[in-house]
Amino acid sequence: MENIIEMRNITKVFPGIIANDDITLELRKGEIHALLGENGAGKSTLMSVLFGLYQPTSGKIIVKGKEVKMSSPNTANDLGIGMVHQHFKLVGVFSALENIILGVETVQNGFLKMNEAREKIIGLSEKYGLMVDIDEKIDNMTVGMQQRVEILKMLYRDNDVLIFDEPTAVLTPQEIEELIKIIRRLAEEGKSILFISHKLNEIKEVSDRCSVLRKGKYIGTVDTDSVTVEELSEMMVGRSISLHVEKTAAKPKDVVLSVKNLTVMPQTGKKEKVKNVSFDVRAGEIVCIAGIDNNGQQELVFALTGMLPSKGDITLNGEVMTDKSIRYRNTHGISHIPEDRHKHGLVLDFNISQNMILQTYFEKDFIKNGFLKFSDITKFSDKAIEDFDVRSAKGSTNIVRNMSGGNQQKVILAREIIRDHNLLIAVQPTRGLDVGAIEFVHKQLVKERDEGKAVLLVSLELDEVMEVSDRILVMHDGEIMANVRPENVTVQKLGLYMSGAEREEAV
Amino acid sequence: MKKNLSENSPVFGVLASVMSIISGLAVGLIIMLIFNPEMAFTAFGMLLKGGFSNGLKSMGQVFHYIAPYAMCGLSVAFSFQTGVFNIGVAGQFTVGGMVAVLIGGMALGIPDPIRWIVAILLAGLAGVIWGMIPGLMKAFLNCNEVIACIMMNYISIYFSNWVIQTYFYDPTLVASKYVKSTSLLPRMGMDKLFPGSSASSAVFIALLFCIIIYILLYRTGFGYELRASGFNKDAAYYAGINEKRNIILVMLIAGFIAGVGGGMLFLSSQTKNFLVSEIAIVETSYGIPIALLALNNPIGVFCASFLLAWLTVGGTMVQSAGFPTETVETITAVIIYFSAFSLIFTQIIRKWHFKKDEQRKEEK
Repeated sequence: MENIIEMRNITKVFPGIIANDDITLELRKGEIHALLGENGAGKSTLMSVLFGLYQPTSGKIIVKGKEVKMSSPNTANDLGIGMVHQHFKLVGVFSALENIILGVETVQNGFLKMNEAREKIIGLSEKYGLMVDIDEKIDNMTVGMQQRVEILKMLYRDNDVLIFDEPTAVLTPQEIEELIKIIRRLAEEGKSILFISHKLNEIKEVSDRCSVLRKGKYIGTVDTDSVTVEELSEMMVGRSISLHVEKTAAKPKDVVLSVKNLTVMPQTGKKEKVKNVSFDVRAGEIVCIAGIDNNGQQELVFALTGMLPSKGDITLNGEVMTDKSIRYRNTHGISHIPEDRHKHGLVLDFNISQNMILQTYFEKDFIKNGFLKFSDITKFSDKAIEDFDVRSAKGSTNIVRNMSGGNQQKVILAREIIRDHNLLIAVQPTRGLDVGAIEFVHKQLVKERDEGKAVLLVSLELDEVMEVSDRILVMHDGEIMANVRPENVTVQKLGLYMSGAEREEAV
Repeated sequence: MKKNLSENSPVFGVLASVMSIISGLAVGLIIMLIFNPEMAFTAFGMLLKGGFSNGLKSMGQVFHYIAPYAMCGLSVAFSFQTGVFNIGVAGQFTVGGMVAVLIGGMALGIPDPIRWIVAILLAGLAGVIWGMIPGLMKAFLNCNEVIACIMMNYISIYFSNWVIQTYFYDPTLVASKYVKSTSLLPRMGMDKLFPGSSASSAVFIALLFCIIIYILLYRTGFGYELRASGFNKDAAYYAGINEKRNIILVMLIAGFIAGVGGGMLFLSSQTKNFLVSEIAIVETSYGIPIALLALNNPIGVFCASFLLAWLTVGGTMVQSAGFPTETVETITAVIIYFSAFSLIFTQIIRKWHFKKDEQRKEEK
């Protein structure tokens, strides 16, 4: 088969870092080709080079047999290369049709001429089984449907190379199955697909061939059928890893956190984001809140930690916390690993030791007569760095902004775990981390549980939910749809709860 | 650079500020060349000579100007570091000055030896009130402090004019009457050291303020809290830091600094009458540029004030070379303009330094 795109020996150097080091990628016509790598492996850089957003330091790009210079994303478009981004680029108040033709409208005497476009789009939608209602507004669509609008956008522009950037990250298991069918159909019709992901099972299921990147280097390309998931993971990480979290059965004790009829309004807007929710978390168990992003998880956590006002009852160790301040809750048993470590979790321009005392600087260990006790703070921070293996060039005095995401997360983890607490709330604690760091975080969560803390984990990754939790609460549209144990539920079933299609009887 | 500098070493900041000043001066020279090519270099020399231009008197004048500049710059820099934008220095400074003139000039039954202290403290208090209003509005009504401050600045001008005209006005001067000579700031030997100048203890008080604010910001728990809010408001909120209380406290302290600055300016010499004018007091316009040039560091504020005071004194000399005062103001404005680039210069220097570093590593 002929190669539709060849990226030959691409090297891209940024000041201080080689993002792509001599990478070769060949995409054949009509194949589904997966690009596998951890966060920071260089996938995004490589795609930015392909789309002309970055110029490669060396190497060349050959499209349909001809060497081309990608000077801007327009060049890529002209060559028939299209991409579905992880974050969709759609106008919410426009209909699907309007979004699809945006930028390539046909106009007659200054008026939009939609009929031809409408027919073409309906035709494409039927041909590939996309089933998009093209007059529906984007805001009223599910995420899965929005993604199909993005696919239609590429097809309408007659793209024959389609790139999907982590397309499954925002979907339920059922939607993922549908997407995979659509992708297969596209390939059968002669489109060439590049599928970017770090999820091994999906790659194994959908792709014909797979190219692996690790730390900016090209590791190799394999026929997906000829390798196992374990082999793929070893190529990706560079060592064999256990995808399994080691833990014994949970021994839940007293109720630590009790939530009754909790209702939360969002920071902006008038629609309730958490609707009359009740649940308990006991000492010695990891309770996981599963769900698709933006179904009220963030507002729930903010209400628990005091960052958003709420109605209902939040009880911690028997004490009603509903109207207490953030600081009161911080100092009375709640630790919180926030979802957005750069926005909430860290002061990036402070050094490690300053970040380690973010909620405790006023305690007598660190302050005397209003003056900070720098030597004690450094001592404390040095120990935390050692215990949690935080790596940085200069230790305690290292500015946090200059550290890797994994080590930044370790700073937060250390701070929140060392602080006196009974309840640890961890929101997507492994987001954006490499496999080694993910393992570390999971181990720490289990250790917390074994030490008798209550752990409330919010996660969007179903693998993580199934592996780490002792009990799963599924959230959909601000309500808890199910309260189940991982051993009694399948991923498919969770998907139905997550999409709101089913609800457990007892809840 | 031989040493291995850390990412946030103060060396970068100092170098950047120096670069801003040099760029500003260079552009200033070009402007002078356009206006009057023959005299340009002579005049430029005069400008640079600054405090050395007219013997000890000029040097004394430099010290005289440092105090109001530093107090204005410090008030701005302190608030900037904590994420609050105190644009209201002009207003706080003006009411401070007005109050000091009243206390310094009217009988009011205050014993003479402590009169200047009472005057300065009440000037500070006036600044506190002026700063607290935008602070309260920001904290409780979420009203943008920049806009509230700008309005307070206008109010301060007309309010002070009204007070002075009503209670302590000399129509022939179109200004306040003279303050009592006994209410002036102690000279602490500055008049002996720099005869003929207005230099007084104000410069020492300004330095003391800079040091105190430095210690407050970098050594205390309160300063830690304020700086955390300044760097990342959301993280401070997450950590349970009481933002509302801090906004009010910051505006209060910033107002106090500016108010004291205003009080000291009008009690520095007897001929410094409070002008009834509809234009803001000139010294206050230096607050923001000095803070920018100093990259908000309190000690840097003192150094930047020294530099601008130097140029102010040099600038008065340039007139003798046939340049109108406006030229000098233009040049100062250009330097100020470039001071806004301090941050960009910092980044350029940092990048350049680390690039060199890397090359060296590769060579090894």
